[in-house]
Amino acid sequence: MSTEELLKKCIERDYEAWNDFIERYKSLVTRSVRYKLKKISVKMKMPRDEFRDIVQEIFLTIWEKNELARVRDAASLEGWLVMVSLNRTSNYCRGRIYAKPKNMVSLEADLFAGKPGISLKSMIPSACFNTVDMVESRELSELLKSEIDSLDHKQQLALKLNVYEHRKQKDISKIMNIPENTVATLVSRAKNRVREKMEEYFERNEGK
Amino acid sequence: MKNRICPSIEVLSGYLAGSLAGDEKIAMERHLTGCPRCRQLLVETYEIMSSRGIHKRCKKWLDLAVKNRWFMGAQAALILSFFFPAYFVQFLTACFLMGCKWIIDAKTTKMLIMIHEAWKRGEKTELDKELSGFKHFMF
Repeated sequence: MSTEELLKKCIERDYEAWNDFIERYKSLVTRSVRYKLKKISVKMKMPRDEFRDIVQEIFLTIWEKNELARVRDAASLEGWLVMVSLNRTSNYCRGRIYAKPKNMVSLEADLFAGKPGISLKSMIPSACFNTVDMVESRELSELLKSEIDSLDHKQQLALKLNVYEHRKQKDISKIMNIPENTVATLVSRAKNRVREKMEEYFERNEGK
Repeated sequence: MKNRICPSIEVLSGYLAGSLAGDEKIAMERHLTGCPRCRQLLVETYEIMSSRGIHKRCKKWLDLAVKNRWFMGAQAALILSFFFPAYFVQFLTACFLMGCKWIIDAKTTKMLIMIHEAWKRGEKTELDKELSGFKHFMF
């Protein structure tokens, strides 16, 4: 049975098709759940039965709420299923005790609800604490951010996937559905432009 | 926390599958540049799906190896017989036995044996029946 037919029958609440659907995508959902648990490092603390519960719950919710009707087309079904699994797993963990032990305060967490950026870590004086350096590095990072933001949206996305998410050009080309050569051009142009702007900034500062 | 202007996962998965076009695709790319959460979800999904491709390919090769295990064993025994001259005869015997097993296990051999047995019993095979019908029609 093709994916289109399977999807259509599942939406029409065909039990047999739903069993086929589970058989076909069980391994994909299981792998997605495992991946997310490993990433948020709770896998070791979780009993085996509970891990199966998550997979079961994902399929059950999809069936009960007829969520498959929302899928745009058969081509995006697998991606959709992986995204649903990843989101459900993180939601599940967030609601459980595995997420964070009670009575623990994170150094990185914001101290005040309305004021982001003020954490306990920022209040601890560092051995290499230097106000001038701090101001300079903050100014530099803001400049860098504004330069990246001023890039064309395609260049910006390719650069962010390359630099922030550590993706190779081959992966970026598949994610953005564009040729690998185009990705190489986009990334190199973006990097060159940012580099030029930064060089201008340093030259200006040296002149002062 | 989910950003209120984040697109739904249906749109995000559509982008990954290459189903978005025109303004929708541009809007999606613009959003991805400014939303690390969606970007991360996209990258994670891509990672899982590409690892699935590798897994599938590995499984395909493994299935092929299991299917032709006797043939591969016979080949290995033949090669080893040249590397260990002291056990040349033993390896050659193993190669012969595994080769025989491979031939007997092959689907075509099984079919030939079945046809031969049916022919010996005097039964008409499906092919014979079809051919006889064809002859009758032609002549």
